[in-house]
Parts: sequence; C-alpha cells; structure tokens
Amino acid sequence: MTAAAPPNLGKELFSPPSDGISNLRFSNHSDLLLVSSWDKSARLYDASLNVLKGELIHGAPVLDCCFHDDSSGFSACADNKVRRLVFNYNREDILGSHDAPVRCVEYSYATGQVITGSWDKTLKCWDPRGASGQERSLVGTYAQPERVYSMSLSGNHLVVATAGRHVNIYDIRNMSQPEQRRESSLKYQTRCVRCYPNGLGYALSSVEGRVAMEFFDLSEAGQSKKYAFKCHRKSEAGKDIVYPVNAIAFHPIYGTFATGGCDGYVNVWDGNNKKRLYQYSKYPTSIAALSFSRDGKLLAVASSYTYEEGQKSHEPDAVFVRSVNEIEVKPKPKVVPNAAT
Amino acid sequence: MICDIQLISWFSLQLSSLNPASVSSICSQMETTCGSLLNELQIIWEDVGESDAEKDRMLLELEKECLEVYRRKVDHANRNRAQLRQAIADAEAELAMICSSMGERPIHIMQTNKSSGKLRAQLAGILPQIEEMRKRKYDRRNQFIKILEEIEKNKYEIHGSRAPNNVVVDDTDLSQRKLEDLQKELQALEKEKHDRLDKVLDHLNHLSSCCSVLGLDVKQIVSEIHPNLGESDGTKSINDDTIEQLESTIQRLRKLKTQRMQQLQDLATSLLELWNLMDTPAEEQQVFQKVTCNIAASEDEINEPNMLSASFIDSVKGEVSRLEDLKVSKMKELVLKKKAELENLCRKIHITPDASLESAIDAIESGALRISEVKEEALRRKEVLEKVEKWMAACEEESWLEEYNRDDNRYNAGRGAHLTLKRAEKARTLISKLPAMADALASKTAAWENEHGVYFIYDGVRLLSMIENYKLLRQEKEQEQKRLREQKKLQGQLLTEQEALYGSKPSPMKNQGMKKGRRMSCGGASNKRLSLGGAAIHQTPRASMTPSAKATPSTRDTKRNEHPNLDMDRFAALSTGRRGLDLAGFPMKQHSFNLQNARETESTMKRKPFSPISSTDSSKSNIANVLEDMSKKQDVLPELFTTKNVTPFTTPSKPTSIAEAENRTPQVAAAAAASTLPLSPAPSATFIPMQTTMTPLRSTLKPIENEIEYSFEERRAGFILSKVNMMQV
Repeated sequence: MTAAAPPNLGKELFSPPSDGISNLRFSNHSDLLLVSSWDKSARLYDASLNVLKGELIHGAPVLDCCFHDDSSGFSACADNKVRRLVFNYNREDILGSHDAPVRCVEYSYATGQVITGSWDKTLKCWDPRGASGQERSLVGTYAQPERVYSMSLSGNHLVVATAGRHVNIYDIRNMSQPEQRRESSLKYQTRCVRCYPNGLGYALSSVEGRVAMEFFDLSEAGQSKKYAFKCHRKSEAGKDIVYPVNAIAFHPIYGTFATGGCDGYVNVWDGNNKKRLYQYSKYPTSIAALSFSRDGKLLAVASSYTYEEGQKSHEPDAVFVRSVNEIEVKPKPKVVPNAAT
Repeated sequence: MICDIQLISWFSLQLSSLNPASVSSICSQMETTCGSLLNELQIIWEDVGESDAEKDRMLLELEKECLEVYRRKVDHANRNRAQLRQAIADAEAELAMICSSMGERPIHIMQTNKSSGKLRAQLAGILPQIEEMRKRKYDRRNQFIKILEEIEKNKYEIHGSRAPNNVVVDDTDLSQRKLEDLQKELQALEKEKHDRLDKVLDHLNHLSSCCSVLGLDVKQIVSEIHPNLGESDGTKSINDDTIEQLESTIQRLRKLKTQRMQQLQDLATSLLELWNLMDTPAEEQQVFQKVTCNIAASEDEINEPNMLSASFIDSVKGEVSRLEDLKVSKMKELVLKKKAELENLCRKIHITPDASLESAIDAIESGALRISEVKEEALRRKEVLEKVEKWMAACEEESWLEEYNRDDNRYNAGRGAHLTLKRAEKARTLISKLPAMADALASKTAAWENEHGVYFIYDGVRLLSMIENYKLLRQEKEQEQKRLREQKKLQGQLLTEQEALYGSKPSPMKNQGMKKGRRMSCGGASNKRLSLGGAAIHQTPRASMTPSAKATPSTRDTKRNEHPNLDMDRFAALSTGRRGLDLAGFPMKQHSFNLQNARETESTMKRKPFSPISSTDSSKSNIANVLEDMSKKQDVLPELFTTKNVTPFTTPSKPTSIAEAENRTPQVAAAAAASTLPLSPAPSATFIPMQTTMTPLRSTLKPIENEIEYSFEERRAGFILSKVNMMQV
C-alpha cells in the first residue's frame, strides 16, 4: 500500500510497528512523530522525511507516549513503569511505577511534570528533572474512582476519563481535589477524551459511535452549549452498525477536530457549526490514533486493529501521514443547523 | 615698582581682550590717570616711609577693588543682554501667537534670523511687526464681532425664544477661513430669514383671503398671534413659534371654511329644491344666485369676500326657512282648498264629510317635526355608530380568517393566493386589536347610555348585550385554543424527555428520525424479528449483550452475521467460564435473553411494533407502551415513565419472565433478574432506585455476579481486576 494506491490515504511510514499501535503524537516543535505500540516499542519518526530516527524496546506493550522535547519523551508501559526516553542517546530512565499497567501519559509544559494514569485507579505526577529513583521523582498520587482509560491536558485543565463513565476535571495547579467530578453524558464506555485547543471544554467519545462536546463552564449558559452526536456508524438494510470511536484529534489552528473509528474512517468535524467537514477514504482497518502536526498541515493516522473483536486476523498495522488540505479542516459558516448530526 | 607695571599691564590686557577696537584711546587715557595716581601714591609712600610689605598689601587691595568693580559691570551687562533676549523671545512668541490665531504664516521670524543682527537690532526689527500685527488683529477682531453680532441677531429673530447672547470672540482663532465660515453662516441665516419672511407673508396673504371669505377681522386674528404682524409695514416676527401659530390658525380657518361651505351647500341644495317645487320667481332667486352657483364648488374655489361669513349664512338660512314655511302654508292652503271643495260637494249632495283631511294637515305638521327630531338623534348616535361599524368589520374579518385557517389548501399557490395571504396577515393584526376595540366600544356605549338615560339600541337589540355576547363567545374560543396548545406542548415534552437521555436535543422536525435511530441502537431490529415470530431465535443472543459487550461493533446483528464463528467461539469460551470473571455476563445474558424473548413474544400484543427490547430499555418502553395504551391522550406526565420504571417487576410484562424463570434452574432465574441490573447504561438517576428494590435478589447472586466492564486494551492485555480491587468498586 503506497501513496499511489487508488484511495489516497497519505504517505505510509516505512518500518512501522509490528503490532497494534496504541498511540502516536506529533512534536510541538517539529514534524517528528512518536509512536507507541503493543510490540513493546516506542519509535521516533521524522514524518516529513519518512525516516525512523530511533526505537526503544520496553519490557511490555507500550500503551501511550508523549514528547518531552524533540529528542526525548515519556512512555506508559504495561509493565507498570513510567519511563523517560532519550532517543539521541538511545537511553531510558525509569521515573517510577504504578501498581497496574499505565494507560496514559501527559507532559505539562506549564508545570514541567509528567502525569500518568493507570488501571490501578490512580493518577501520578512525576518530576522528570529529579534525580533517578522513584522516591525523588514522584510528586503525588491521586486516587481515581475507576481505572483510567483516557486523559487530556490543555492549559491548566486536565480531563481524566475512567471506566464506569466517570470524568474528573483537574486544575493541574491543585491536584489534591478534582475541580469537577462528572459522569459521561454518553451511555457507554468512554474511549477517548481530548480538550479543545481553546481550553473551554473537551470532546469525549464512546464505544457506541457517539461523541459528546462538553464545556467546563458550569453555568446554565455554558452547559446549554453541550451536545452529542452520532458518528462512525453504518446503515445496512435499515439497521445501524455502530463502531467505537477510538481517537479524537483537534486541529491546532482552526479548532475543528478529526475522529477515527473502528470502521476505518477518519471524519473531520466543525464542532461550533455542528457540521461534518470531510470524510477521508476508508483505511484498511480500525483507526487507533490520530494526531495533527503543530501547524495542522499534517495528520498522522494509525491504522491498526484495536482488538475490539478479540484475537483475529487483521490488516497489518500502519502509520499514514497525510498532508491536510485547508478545505478539509477550515470551519464553514453555518447554513443548516444540526447538520453535523 | 614692579607691581605698578604689572597692574597697568593687567588693566590694558583686560581692556584689550574685551574690546580690541576702542582699546587704544581708553587705554592711553587710563594709563595717564592711573599712572599719575600711582606716582602720587608712590610719592606719598616715599614720604611716609612705608615698608615694602605694606606697599604690596595696599596694591593688592587696590587690585581687588578694581576687580570687584569690573565684575559688577560685567554682571550688569550680562543681565541686560538676558533681558534683551527675553524681550525678543516674548515678542516673537506674541507675534507667533497672533499669527497663528489669524491663521497666517509667521514669515518675519524666518526673516529676522538670529545670526543676522545684533540683539537690539533684532528687537527693533520685531517691534514694528508686532505693532502692525496687533493692529491687524484688532481689526480682524472687530470684523468678527460685527459678524457674530449679526449672526446672533438673525438667530434671535429666527428662533425667537432666547435673547441674543453677548458676543464672545474666540481669540485663538481669528483666521480668514473662520471669518469666511462665519460669513457663510451669516448668509445662510439671512437667506433663511428671507425665506421665512416670504413664508410669513404668504401665510398672511392666505389668512387675509380666508378671513375675507369668512367675514372675519384679519388684523385681530393676526395680532393675536404676534402684535407686530398686524402692522402693514415694519418688521414682522419670523420665528418658529409665529410660523407654527400661523399655520395652525390657517388650518383652523380652513376647517371652519369647509364646515361653513358644507353648511352653505346643504342650504343651497334645499334652496334649489324649494325653488323648483314652488316656481319661485327669477327676481327672487337672483338674490341667492351666488349661493346656488357654488353648490358644487370646492373649498379653494370659494373666495368671494363674505361668502361664508356667519351673517351671510344666517341670511341664507333665513331664506330657506322662509321658503319652508311658505311651502307648508301652501300645502295647507292646497289641502284646505281641497277640503273646501269636498265640503262643497258634500253639501251639494248632502253627505257628511269625514275627518281624514284634517289628519292629513296634522301629519304634514308633525312630519316636519319628526324629521328634525330624527336628524338630531342621528347626530347624537353618530360617534357610537362609527365605532360599531369598525367593530363589525373586524368581526367579519375574524370569521373570515377562521374559515381560511380551516382550509388545508390555503398555502397552495394559486391565482390571488398572495392577496388572501396578505388579507390574512392584516386580519390577524386587526384581530389582535379586537378585544381592546370591544372594550372601548362597551365603555363608550355605557357612557352614552348614562348620558342620554336610554339604552343604545342597534337594529332592535341593545348594543351592550351584543358586545357581552361577543366577549363570552371569544372567551370560549380562547379556552379551546389554549387547551389545544397545551396538548401540543405535552406531546413535545414527551419527545424531549425521550431524547434527553442522549444528551442531544433534536429539532422537532427531526424527532421522527431520531426515534428511529434510537430504536435501532437498542437492538430494535431483532425485536422486529421477534414480533414476527420466533424464527430468528438463534440470532438473538447478540442483540441483548451487556453494554460492555456492546462496545464491540459486532454486537449489531448484521455484522454478527458476518462473523458468526468468532461470536460462537467467544460464547463457548465464556460459558465454560474460561476467564471466570471477566466476561461471565455473557452467558447470563444469553439466558436472560431467552427469557425475555419468551415474554416478549407473549407480550407482543401489548407492545407496539419496533419498540426496543434490550433489558432495561425494553421494560421501560413496554411500560411506556402500556401507559400509552391506557391513556391515549397525552395527559400522562413524562415523570410517570421514570417512576414506573423504578419497579420493573410490577409491570405487566415482567411477571411472566419471573414465572418462566422459576421453571428453570434457580441460578438462571436469578441471573435473569440480575441481568437487568448492572447492565443498564441509563443515567444513574433512574438507576439507583432499581438497585434498591432488587437488593435481596442480588445478595444470593454474589458468587457469579462480576460483570465488570473492560476496555479493549484491558482485554487484550489480559488485565483482570483482582478481588481486592473489586471490593473497592
């Protein structure tokens, strides 16, 4: 499958992970792309040159990763460990560990801390500058109502989605208490949560083909803006087939967002005008993760079976980097209300 | 001696450095006097025999004193120079200020460049310029004052109300341009004044012609408005107030004129009739010819002086009444003549004459009386009648609109459709004013009745009762409409209640579609199959999986058909309890579904087709259906759903399932019941009461109840919550 193949999926990266892709992220400073995978690797690609720049092998599947600076990052691993990865020296430092596999990791440039969420029902904050050794780098442990499934950080807001449809919203300057405790407004298990780039709220997707648009502002007026819409569904002979929505990625410039589902489609939405802006042609298998580059010119798409139907034969895992056309992501003025749904 | 020479050379040095041109003359003179004095001093010292030290000291003193004198002179000169500079700077500043205020370029400052002359020369150069500029400024100021005064005067004449202000000239702006602006303003004012004067004169002309026609005194009317208007020459008041009053007076006179003209024309008509009737001789008609010739004239055609004066109208009136009287007396005469003739005849043939003729004469007289009475009555009723007419017209529109609203085809475009649409629009606004109209009419009528002490009868019916009836009718109609509206609102509430669960609020138009979608996602499709019969039983387990299982897209029936093997595998694995804990919900669910399946088929009669069946949803919607059946009307409050929902076991459909369940192994029955429990993804608000009602059942279930949701990743990683963890749940 190359870029020349009939459906334009974008440039496929060479030497992709050999097993399911758990997450991928573009750097905030360059077109470097960090990819974590179930093949126990964390890989660093240069997306514009299509070069694998580094690879670090862990002891267990890597469930999440994020950048520190362009040459280093952090990983969340199923062996319960949180690592700092330094690619130019091919080195990894263990920041510490949870009591269960670590599901998510975020780095806050504001506080200089690493925040991890785990299935041990806790969040932990780490100071990566601290000398090696867990007792030095662990800043705090914060109990969660359930296993952490997804996490997103924007400005000072940290949104944590857990099993049991709980959503906790933290102000990272004061992690002792959640600022807000909410229940997901969707009826089914939360798959992904991502903050709006403007810091006013977050989008939350569920396993049942639905995305809720939420707002932090608790006033009547603020809450009246929230809504949910259906997506990643297929109608066949009058019946809906509903797919989980695995990934949400916001465009850094326009605030529009892309969603990826187990149906292999990537849709781009204009949340303000409630419109679908674009649907890319179908990818070979489920969309496991999405990320826009810092200027929104590139979109990385992880086409990788997400184990939603258990062990089965599936298409090979691949990372596509497609250049984004302005027209696909630029908000369009509202013409028909509720068009997005 | 050495000292002397030093001193003198010091003097000359100082002088020469100061003023080399005049140094020689002054110096030589100084040298002689100083030299001679020094000589004298030395002679004295010789005589006295002063010591050298003393001599030196005294010379030093002398030197010091000289220096002191020098310093004073220099300081003084310096001060003078500074003052001079100051004076120049002040002069320049004044000049610049005057120039700027006059809007002229300060040329002279350029000319008197500081390097070009000495300070005194500079000052001397500037002073005459200042003088001149001051003079110019003064002239300009006077010009300004003159114009401004003029403007104020005009303004006062035009606006009148306020006294002319004292003229204030803005000294900072005396530029030519400002002057021109003011001149323009003045011209504009003068033009306006002129226009106004024309207008006033025009009005006055009009007024005088009106007055002459009406036979009024122009002078008196005019001087009432403003005393100086009445004078034939001299200034006339032209301010707004005067013009306004003139205009209103003209309006008033016009009205009077029209009124009198109508009166006159009425009189003329009757005059003509009477003349016609009685063959009045031409010479008698001649007197009033000018009245009758104006019978069809319009207002401005009547301009003969005194044509409409009160006295003239009175005289015409007199003529008409004279002719009326004449007519009556003539008629009487005629009747009497006939009577005499009749009597004559009767006498001749010896018959007693009847009295019919007498009554005829009476009738003529009373008839005339009656006519005038009715005329008066009409005048009195006129005001109310006008209102009644308006009201009636509005009522008519209302009934038309009602008719129109009933027409289902009213929006079909056809010929004239836009006209009816417009009419309907107008009618709606009119109807909105109807109640107020009726009220006003009622109060007016009541007032009329009070005033005249009789009922206001309209076509034989009392008007007030008519209005009363109308109001009652309207109230009834409104209540009916309100009832309809509430019904509609309730319907809308039901729909929103259903959708609220999903966090998205559809537009009313979309309701239909949304409902459909929801049904689908709840597994309604399989339900449809069920209501068709049990044919699809082997497919059913998929449709009722737990929400965590639902997480996989393959839960949807169609997809399921694509991967039957996989599903079977999983179920097989589950029922054997391979993982023991993690997915044990599935087998239970399978059974429960069967139960449900059975009861669903039984209760099909009660259910509407397409209603969802997934555990809680089904019970909920079943209740909803039953409720809907029980009370077809929408007066069931939406809250009913939630309250009923709390006790699913009491609903008609549930007992069947329990009975069924009891026939099987107890475990399964328990599972069936439990399956409705943690599965429900419904918001916990409706959920909590459900748990409490079922507590006893749950306790028996503990060993096998472990339906914990897992994400795909957890399942893939084989992550299982430990017992300890579970206890924390």
